[in-house]
Amino acid sequence: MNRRKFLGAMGVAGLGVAGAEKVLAAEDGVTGASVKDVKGLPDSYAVLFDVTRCIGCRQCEDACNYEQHLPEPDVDFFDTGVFQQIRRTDWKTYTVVNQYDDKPPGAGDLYRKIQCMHCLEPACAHSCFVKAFAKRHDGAVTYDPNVCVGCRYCMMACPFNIPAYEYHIALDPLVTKCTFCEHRLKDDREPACVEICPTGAMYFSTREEVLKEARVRVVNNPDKYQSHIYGEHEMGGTNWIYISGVPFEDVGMRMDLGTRAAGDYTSGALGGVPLIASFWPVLLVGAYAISKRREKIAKEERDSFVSQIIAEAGPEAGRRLAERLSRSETLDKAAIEEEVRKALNEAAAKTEREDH
Amino acid sequence: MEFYTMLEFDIFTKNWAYIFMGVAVITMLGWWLFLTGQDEE
Amino acid sequence: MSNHNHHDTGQSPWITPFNVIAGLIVLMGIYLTYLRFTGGLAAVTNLDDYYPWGIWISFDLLCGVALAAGGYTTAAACYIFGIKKYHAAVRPAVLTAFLGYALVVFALHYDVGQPWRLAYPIFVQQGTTSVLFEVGLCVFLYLTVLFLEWLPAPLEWLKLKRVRNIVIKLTLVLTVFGVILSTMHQSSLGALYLILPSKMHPLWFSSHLPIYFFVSSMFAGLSMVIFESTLSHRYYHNKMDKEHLEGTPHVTFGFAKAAAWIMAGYFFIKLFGVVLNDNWGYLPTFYGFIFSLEMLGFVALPAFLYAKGVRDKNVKLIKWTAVLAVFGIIFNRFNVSLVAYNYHLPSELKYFPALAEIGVTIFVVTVGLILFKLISTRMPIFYEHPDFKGSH
Repeated sequence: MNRRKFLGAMGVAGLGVAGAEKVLAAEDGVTGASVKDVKGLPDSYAVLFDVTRCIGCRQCEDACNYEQHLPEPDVDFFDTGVFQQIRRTDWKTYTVVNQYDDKPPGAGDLYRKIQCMHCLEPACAHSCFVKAFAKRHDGAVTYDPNVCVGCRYCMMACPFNIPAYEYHIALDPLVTKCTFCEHRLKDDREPACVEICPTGAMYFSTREEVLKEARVRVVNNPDKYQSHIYGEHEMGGTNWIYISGVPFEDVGMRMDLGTRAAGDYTSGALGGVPLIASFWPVLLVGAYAISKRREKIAKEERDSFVSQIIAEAGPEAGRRLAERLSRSETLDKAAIEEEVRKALNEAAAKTEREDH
Repeated sequence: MEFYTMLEFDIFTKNWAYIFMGVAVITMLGWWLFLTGQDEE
Repeated sequence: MSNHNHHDTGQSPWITPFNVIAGLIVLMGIYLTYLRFTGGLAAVTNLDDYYPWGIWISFDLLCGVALAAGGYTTAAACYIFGIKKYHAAVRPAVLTAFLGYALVVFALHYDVGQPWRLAYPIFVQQGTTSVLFEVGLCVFLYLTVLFLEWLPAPLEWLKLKRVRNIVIKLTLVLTVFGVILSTMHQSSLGALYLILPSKMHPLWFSSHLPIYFFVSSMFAGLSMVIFESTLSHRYYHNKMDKEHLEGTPHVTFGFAKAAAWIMAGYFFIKLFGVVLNDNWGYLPTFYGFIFSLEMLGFVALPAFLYAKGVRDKNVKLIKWTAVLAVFGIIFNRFNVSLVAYNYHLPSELKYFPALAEIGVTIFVVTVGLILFKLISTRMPIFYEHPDFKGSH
């Protein structure tokens, strides 16, 4: 954390932008950021989904399909047969209601709606290498189809398995996901799924208000609700908040995601990249210089031995020795001395032969 | 700069980081040439 | 070896086993390409919303890049650390790396949804917070570097002496830049998986993933150079000059020694992944078995066999160990990207590649082999061009 804070301070101080409002990270529920100078989005829109109130009528799925001009569903929205299996979002479904076994038996079936959680610090946006995703200040995580390359790293990164892909389209497939009805948010209207819900299972307001409402319900009905507000801190916090009467795992929600935003996991590695770019040249060119220097010293030693031989045994022996040494890969002193001794012996033998 | 999310902060700082990485690599190359420019072979 | 010389005597007939098999694979590849770009990814792959990345990422990208690491390791050993004995190994290694990276980019055109936008992250809108951006930028730059490092071969072949001498002058700069870029993207391929901790099995997830990927790429590259030189000697022996033939034993023993040493270090940094995250409890499970198999069978064992080969001067053992080490790298990359990934999903939701998907991968590898053959039988790869002898 210290390093991040330091970097944050550097960023602000270095560019002379003072007065950024200090908001303590993750403690007030408005930001998942671990950088101090991030303001957070307390006024962004959010939705509270109350698992105890959902009856599985699937009207939200219908409304979403209509509002987003999605293709005809495979199965009619009034058909409860779909509850036989757990479904997920796909290219023609931005939201899905699943049925879970009642616990304890007889307490009534449980239903939970799935859609994009609209993370405060979205993994999809952090992982996108063309910035196709944006976290809007009204809370929506939006997608720009005009730059998407289709690498699908967003789908890898999303801890909630939300983005889907048009695998069946040959040339211009896109990633699909819930838009938080961003066109409606712009007019301060709730998303279509919230509007149509007949049981009030969803409550739409600012994130601050939604968290307050969640706390009120949980605190006033301790026997009815789990004492956990899902999405307040999960993966740095989300703009869709869940409360439930049963453990969240029982309605298919992972409790082991942790509170760190997805981007936080990669910041260490990405922070190391500039280090490599700026310090590797030092080490590599340093190693090169050392090996060059060693070569130079070896060459000087070789040359001095060669001239010594020329002085003692004549130019011809010196020339042959120099040639042999230049082919030799071993430049250490012992080897050179060995070569010198051999050359001297040869020269001596030759002189002897010439003498006779 | 004002940052509302860590994502905005990261985009801003990483953009500059990449620019300065380019600056660092090119400067290091020039610096090495300057440093060894008067060396005798 | 001499009985293999007839493969490349110049007048060899067109109908050879290699040409027939490669030709059939290319035809299959063209057909699969047609299917891919008329029916979409669904027509040729088993990818789905839970598994957006299949073997085209696991093998073509992750293994492809790791196994092409021979380019930067060999060039660094020769030009930066000054081990001139490896000089003859540089050209084949650089050619392999260049083709390897070119094919990685080629394969990505099948995998991404809209391949004509593949350069968008560099030229249109930069998602600098993404690890994938870093990978993309480095692969793009490194492919350029490898092209320039390889360029002297075609320039000598075309007898363009002046241009060739200018490019040769850049050798050191290119080598240093190549090592920097390789360090960055080899490690970043591991860092890709850092953003999805909740989907990764703890035995393979660690904040040190980028270091694991970088360190393993070093011995992947070294092993690949040894493995390749075995194959090249089998088929191109008559193309090789004295320097190449005399240098090969130095390369084999030197690289085996380096690989054994690096693998030992790798074994321990991976072990600390278990120690620091208290993953001991996972070892007596199915995933623990796979992990242990990887660590003992594909890291510790080849490290030991390399060491034995070096001590006993056993070239044959080293060559077989290189094969084992290469398989170990493939095993590791598949474990990270397909076994550890989505470990918590029920088995009926898990992914297994489609035949057509495997077909495209085989096609891509075959294209690489064909290009390597075409280039290495024409250009000065295994020998120094007579006009440029000793002028490196």
